Amino acid sequence: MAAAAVDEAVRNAVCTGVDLSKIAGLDNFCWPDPIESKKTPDGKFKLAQLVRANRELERICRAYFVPCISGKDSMKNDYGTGENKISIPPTLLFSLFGNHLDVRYTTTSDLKPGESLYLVGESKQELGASEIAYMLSEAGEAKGIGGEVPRLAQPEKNLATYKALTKAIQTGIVRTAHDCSEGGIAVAIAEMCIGGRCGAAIDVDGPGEADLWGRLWGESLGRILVGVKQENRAEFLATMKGQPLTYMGDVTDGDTLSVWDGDELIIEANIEKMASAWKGSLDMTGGVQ
Amino acid sequence: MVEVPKVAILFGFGINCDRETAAVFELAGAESERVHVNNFVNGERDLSEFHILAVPGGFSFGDHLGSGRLLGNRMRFAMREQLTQFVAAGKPIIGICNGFQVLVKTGLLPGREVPDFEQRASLTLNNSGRYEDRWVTLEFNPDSPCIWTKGITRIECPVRHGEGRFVMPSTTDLDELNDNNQIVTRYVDPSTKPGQGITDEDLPFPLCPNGSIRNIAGICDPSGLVFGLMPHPEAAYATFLHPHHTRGEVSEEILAEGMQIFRNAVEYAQANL
Repeated sequence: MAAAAVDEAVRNAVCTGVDLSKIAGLDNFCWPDPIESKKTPDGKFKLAQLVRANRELERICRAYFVPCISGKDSMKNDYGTGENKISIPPTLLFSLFGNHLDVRYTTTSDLKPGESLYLVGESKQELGASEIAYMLSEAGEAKGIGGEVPRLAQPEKNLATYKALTKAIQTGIVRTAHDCSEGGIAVAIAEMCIGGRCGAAIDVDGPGEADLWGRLWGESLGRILVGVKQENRAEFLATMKGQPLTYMGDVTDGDTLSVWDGDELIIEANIEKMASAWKGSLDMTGGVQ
Repeated sequence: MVEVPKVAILFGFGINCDRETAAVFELAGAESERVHVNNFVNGERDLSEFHILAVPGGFSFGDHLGSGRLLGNRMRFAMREQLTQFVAAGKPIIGICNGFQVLVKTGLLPGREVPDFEQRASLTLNNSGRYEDRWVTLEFNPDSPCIWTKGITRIECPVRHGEGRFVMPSTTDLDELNDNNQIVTRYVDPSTKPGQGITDEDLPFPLCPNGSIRNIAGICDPSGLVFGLMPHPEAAYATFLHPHHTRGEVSEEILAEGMQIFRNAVEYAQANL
């Protein structure tokens, strides 16, 4: 969780074109009481979670060269006593800020017409603690947390990939980038279609050991979906040489998102329907547009 | 002849767009100075030191008793002499957003040839019943005497207000305003051809973000020197501020269309003061 929080914060910075040589972070811990006592018989377990989160925080921040310049902790997030006691899940909120060299070269997550889509990074079989696992578990359709949780074994490799992508963004050959986080590639591409009101067709069949579920909904770290205009493809591929990169598909003229697994159409969704589903729960206008 | 006109940018009491308003005038070739309202009120400073006056956006006096009411009264009663002389000297005044509300409540807009500080119009609650923060398309009346908007056909810029619906007591008042070409700028449908967007028909929300009568976004006084508008042209001073700037090619040009309003006033001051 701690590694994922830092990685996602860094990827969000990458996805706007921020200069990665000057970034800083804030770590905010929201934790249940980790001191063993009569009230907290599982204090040792909670303290161990805190120690392990801190170890990962240190390891990833050092690898990404992110100094944590401020932060806060809230260590008694529990309510009630005995069997009625409720503790919040251990949570690390990680914020990041950085310097943008030229804001005209900002990337945004909305797809633009005529772009080709690439996946930067690799999808692994990491559905553990994912949105889809929680969703199926809450619906009673599956048990457990969904298998292996996302891991960040070699953050220094990710950083090299991020830096290559940042270079491509700062030279203006990439105008669209979005991190794959909650909901994996399927949700990321849907958000990009909604943002640009563009159709897209992608094929999730690709390299790596992940199965279809893993590739669609898995939340492996280090991944960014990128949109590149046709005329910039060659330069983009040259800039990203040696980095994990998979061609996924293209923006289409249509009004649907189509997700293929090889020859099989897995998802077909209308963009406007997705947009109203996404915005629907926020509608406080009473019907005024 | 003035080479570098001096602009007084009012601040204090909750005005909060003073720094960016000062910055755009500097970019347009003027020298800006942020002056606290009380410096003019208590006589430490005098408007006659300046060539242009800007009343920026913000929430002066927390919008209590209605947007712009209290600052409007303060200017109307405590700065009456200075303002009368400023206008008589033919010096331009702009009010943006809360500044427009202030100028309307001061009575400088729509105003008379010689200011009488009588309020004749108002800016009241948006039809949507809430604060609107969105980009709009504005078109300008080519026959208006307004010195601020010469040569501008259409621009896009943001509105950020809860009380922007322009109202007047009667249709006759509006017709008079229209006949004098004091209706300088209106909200238009961006899908119309530039130059053909202006209409008296009520545009639907959000094209007209507040329900203004005849889609009015800004007006001037009969001389064309005093101009007020609800949208924020200073927030459209650079191409990279447009919400869709990342959807096109990277623009080599940094300054954007909103700048023309400020350039016009600076050029006017250079030529006439």
